[in-house]
Amino acid sequence: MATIKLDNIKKSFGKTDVIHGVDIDIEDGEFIVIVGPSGCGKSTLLRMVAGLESVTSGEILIDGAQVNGVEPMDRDIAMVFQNYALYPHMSVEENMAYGLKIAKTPKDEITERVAEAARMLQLEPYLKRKPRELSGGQRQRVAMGRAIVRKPKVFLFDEPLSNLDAKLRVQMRLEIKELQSRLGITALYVTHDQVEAMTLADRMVVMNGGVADQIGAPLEVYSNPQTEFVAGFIGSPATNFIDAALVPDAPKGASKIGIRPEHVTLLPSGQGKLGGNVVFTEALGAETLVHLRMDSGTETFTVRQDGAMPLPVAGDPVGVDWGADDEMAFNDKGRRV
Amino acid sequence: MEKRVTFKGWLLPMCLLMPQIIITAVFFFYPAGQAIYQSLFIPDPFGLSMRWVGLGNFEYLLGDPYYRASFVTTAVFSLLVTVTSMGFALYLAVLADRLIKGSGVYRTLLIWPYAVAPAVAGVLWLFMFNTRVGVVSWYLGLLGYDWNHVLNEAEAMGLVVVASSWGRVSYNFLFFLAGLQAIPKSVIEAAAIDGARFWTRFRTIVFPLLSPTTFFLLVVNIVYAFFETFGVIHTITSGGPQQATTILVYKVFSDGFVSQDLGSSAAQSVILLVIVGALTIVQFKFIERRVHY
Repeated sequence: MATIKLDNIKKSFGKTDVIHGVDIDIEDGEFIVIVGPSGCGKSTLLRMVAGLESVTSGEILIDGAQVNGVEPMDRDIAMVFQNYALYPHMSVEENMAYGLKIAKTPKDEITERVAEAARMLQLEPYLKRKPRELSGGQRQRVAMGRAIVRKPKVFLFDEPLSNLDAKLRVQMRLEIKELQSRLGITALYVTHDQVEAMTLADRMVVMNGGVADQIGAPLEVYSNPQTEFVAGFIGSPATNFIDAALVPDAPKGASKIGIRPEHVTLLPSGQGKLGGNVVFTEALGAETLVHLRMDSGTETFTVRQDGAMPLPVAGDPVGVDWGADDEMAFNDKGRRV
Repeated sequence: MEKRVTFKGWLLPMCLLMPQIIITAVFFFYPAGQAIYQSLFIPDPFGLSMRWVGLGNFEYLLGDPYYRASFVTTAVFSLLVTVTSMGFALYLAVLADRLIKGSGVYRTLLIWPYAVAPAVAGVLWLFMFNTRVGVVSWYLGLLGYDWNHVLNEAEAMGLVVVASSWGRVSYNFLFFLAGLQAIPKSVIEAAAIDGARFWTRFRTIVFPLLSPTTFFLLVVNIVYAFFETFGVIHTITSGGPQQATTILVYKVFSDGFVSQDLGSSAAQSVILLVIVGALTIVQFKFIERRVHY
């Protein structure tokens, strides 16, 4: 149980600056997801909290104590790695008991805690097996178990689900969330998958090019993105961006208008705010995605509509409209107007 | 799809294989056969006639205290060479693995001694430790230590062990470094987060994961110490003083070519042949199941 505070954290590798000053305040028991595209510095940030990377400048505080120079083993944290990083020569049981053994925990307590974690993660039948005899999902559970048994102050997750297939990923996502809220341990979770970020996070941190663009509850970030990047990155299909000059009644100072696909309605040609042609449609059952090319030329537009509505035909001219409240205006620096 | 090249007839493949087969036959099968044949005879001192003795040579050898002493010498020598060269190589490899800047230069320099032939290495060390003109023995003399490997058996053994291990460190270093770099970094990091400090990590994670490399090197180094150190011993001590550094392979040479006891020498060769055969079997058995964790 702990709070974490990142105070103006910067990191450079040689002359390359990868993180340009990040501030995050994490409350006790909170589940924070750091999300961003590859190369945005999210893993580096996590590794700095773990103590695996040095901090170039700024402060990391765990429970109010500065830990910048503290070795990973003295930070009372547990980490789940993307490739699980299990000890290949040890059985599942030994893998989970390793940290406790080093901490010189009494033997019967080790057995008890490993048994408890194994029960929680349904690993009981596999305790004597070596990691190579396990499936990907089981290995993932062992990695989780290894983190749980130590009862650390903080859980760190570095893209723990990205090596699993889609179905397993959804299942493990639920389990991680459930475990974390049951144990009440502060968690910092890094992913590039915005769905994981939306579903897991109490609050999410959207990173872009070494900067935390926005920090907030998932729905707040979704409905009120502060930058053009956040609006484009969070949400699938991605937000449509249109040159503000083309949009009637665009707010002052706006250079681009963003509008989410589900806020757009298709109208017959000649009606609505803008006009375009249907390029192709994707009928997904519950919903249909209609891809348009706008009359302005190069700009494309995606419309999400109910699956029950009639399918537009490719090549047809259409008009699009949206409510003024759904418009997100951004200035030429990508900031929200 | 058949990717291997297949030959229609047998003539071309035979021709292509012939050079290797001839070399093996002339330099291995023929001498080995000769050794087995000669080990059953005792030639007269002038090599004019041979007397059939059956297994007499072997019988004599196994009862010979000098031969049994040579076995002990070989065991001590190969144990010391293996432990010294592997231990030092592992130490250097662990340091080089942690090195970020200039690791290329460091590695290249460490590999150089491997290119030096054993006999030349022997002479190099002999120069340094020469009782009269050697640099090291001179400094030892200044410190009040009277170095004389020509008379002192322990010093002689120490010197041949060091000289034999020196070039070997490079070879072992390469394998250990490759082995260390094959261990996923995240596993080490996971251990660090689990609370293991450097030495604990090395003992419980790194060393066990390195065991395939260690075992391979153990066999290779024992074979080296048994057979390939002839040049070092010949140049530095010639097996002396008092046979203190006469390992089995050196005794084959000194009994056969110096003492002209070709029957006994041949019998010793056969015994060595059996030993190297056994070591090779161990090695192949091991390579078949490389991953044993």
